[in-house]
Amino acid sequence: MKKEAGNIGDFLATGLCLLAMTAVMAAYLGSAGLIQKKTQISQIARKYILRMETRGMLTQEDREALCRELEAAGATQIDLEGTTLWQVGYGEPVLLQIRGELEESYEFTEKRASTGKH
Amino acid sequence: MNSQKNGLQRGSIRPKAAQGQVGWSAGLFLLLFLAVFLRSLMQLELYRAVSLYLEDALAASNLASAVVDVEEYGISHEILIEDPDSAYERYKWAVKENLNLDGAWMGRPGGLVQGPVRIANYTVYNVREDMVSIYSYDENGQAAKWRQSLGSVTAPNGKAVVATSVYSEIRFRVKGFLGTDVEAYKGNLADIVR
Repeated sequence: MKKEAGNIGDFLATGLCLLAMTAVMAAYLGSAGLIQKKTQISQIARKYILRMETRGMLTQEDREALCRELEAAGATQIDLEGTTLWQVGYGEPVLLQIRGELEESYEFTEKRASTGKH
Repeated sequence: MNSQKNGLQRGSIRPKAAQGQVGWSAGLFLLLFLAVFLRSLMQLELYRAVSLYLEDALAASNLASAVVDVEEYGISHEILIEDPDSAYERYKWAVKENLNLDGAWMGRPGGLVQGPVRIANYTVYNVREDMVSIYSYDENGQAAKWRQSLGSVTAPNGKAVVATSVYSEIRFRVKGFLGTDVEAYKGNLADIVR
């Protein structure tokens, strides 16, 4: 059976459009996933700054649990430099600073500040 | 005039190449529509994330500023925020840290919040028995103080003040669609007793 003229052109147009749509969709899902991961990390930081408020510092066990939760959320290269790791008095500043990477390429910094309430 | 009378075939007027162009045009239109639709969805997701982030940051900053007067609590068992001026200074420090702003109160490059961020209102509500002592700081840091009876006080976001609380409101710019930025504001009332 003889092929109709223009079939290859139509197929090419459909194929290229589908390919481009897939690329656009993949880019969207990737970006939305990153936003969700960042939101998740913010929630983890919030949880631990509340603990730091009541304890006056980030204790060793909290520090380990925080790193575990951050890793579970997809963070790598975690650095807690700048975080209050020593006991502070009532009303004094406590700081939680998390630096890391998401998906091995996007750097993030999450900062939370409060005052000791223990 | 009837084209069949002239011996022309129906459809022969349109060149063959134009049929393929319809397919391309429809495909490109769909692609463009999908791109714009997904970009809008992404913008909404971003606004939602910014809103949640700011809500948390404001609540945390309000609570950070609220240092209870321990001496007063020991004497009268009333929970009151000691020295509203110091509380305002603590709030400024906390909000700057929580939003990761630089020295000029600007958002960091690539961040969700675009600078500058302004504190539009910071108010301390100290509730003692049936009276509320209100200490309010405006955008320029000018303080005003007055008293009102409990039950008649509402925060600027419409929530009733029922116990010692802190309200704050910030104004900032966020990235909008197609590189534009829009001004937004966020207010939060933190009840430090409940």
